[in-house]
Amino acid sequence: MKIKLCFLLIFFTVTARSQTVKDYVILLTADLRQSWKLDSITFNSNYSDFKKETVFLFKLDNQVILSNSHLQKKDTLTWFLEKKERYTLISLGTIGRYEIDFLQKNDKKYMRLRNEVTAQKNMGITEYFFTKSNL
Amino acid sequence: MPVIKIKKKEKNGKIIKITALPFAVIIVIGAFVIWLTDKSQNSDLNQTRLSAYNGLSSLVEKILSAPNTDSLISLSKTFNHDFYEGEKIPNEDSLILLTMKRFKFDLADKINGSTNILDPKRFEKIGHDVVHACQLQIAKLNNIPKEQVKN
Repeated sequence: MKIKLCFLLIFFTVTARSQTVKDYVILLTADLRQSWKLDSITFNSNYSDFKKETVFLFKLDNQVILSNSHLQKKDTLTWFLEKKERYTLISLGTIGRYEIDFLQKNDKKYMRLRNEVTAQKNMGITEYFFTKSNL
Repeated sequence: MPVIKIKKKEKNGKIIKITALPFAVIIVIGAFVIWLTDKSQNSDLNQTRLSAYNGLSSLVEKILSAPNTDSLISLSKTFNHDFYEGEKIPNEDSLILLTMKRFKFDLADKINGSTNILDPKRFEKIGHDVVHACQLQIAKLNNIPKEQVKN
């Protein structure tokens, strides 16, 4: 009986955890594909990994296509989500890992990626704000 | 002649014993004074740290129960000035520094009116993480087992 209860507990824990990641996947890909345009960057450090107005097309098959109209260039990367206790990380190919949040302000929804927060006091954090795009 | 030599040796031994004793006493007293000073400095340092942890946790609790945005802005200024940018929390307290940094970001979201769609209560959760991290450090300094610290 106790063993059964343990299995049930593990099952529900795993299910609950994967549902949370699934929520992120739904918002990120709209359950198939969704474009996000880099709208603004908050520089709290001296560098930026992405250029403003870059469009990220997130697809359900864990592929993301980055395109920038100025450069006429497209890059395909793989994306992967990892749920932590208080935040969720997204890996973008070899570029790096970012904390991902979906925020809402005055009825406007946006996605934010930022460098993983560390305990280091002087480490700058750059935040990237994306809005949904129809491209 | 040998008798004179033995007497001289005995005399030298007495002189060495007489002069060594005050030296030994001085060394013992010196070590004791150093130990007392060290203990008092450690005690002062612990008191400063305890006061910082208590101050931080009560400020975060005030922020969490702030009635409006104006008081939130005012309290966040104190938080940034006294704790986030200040040196009250030592660098080795990485758990507190990390939760404090996360709290600062979520506090900024709260002030500018952004809601976290998938985790609307994250601001409060991270605030409680800061308070809990402070309580753990307070318990450690008071030699209380961390199992006794409430979550």
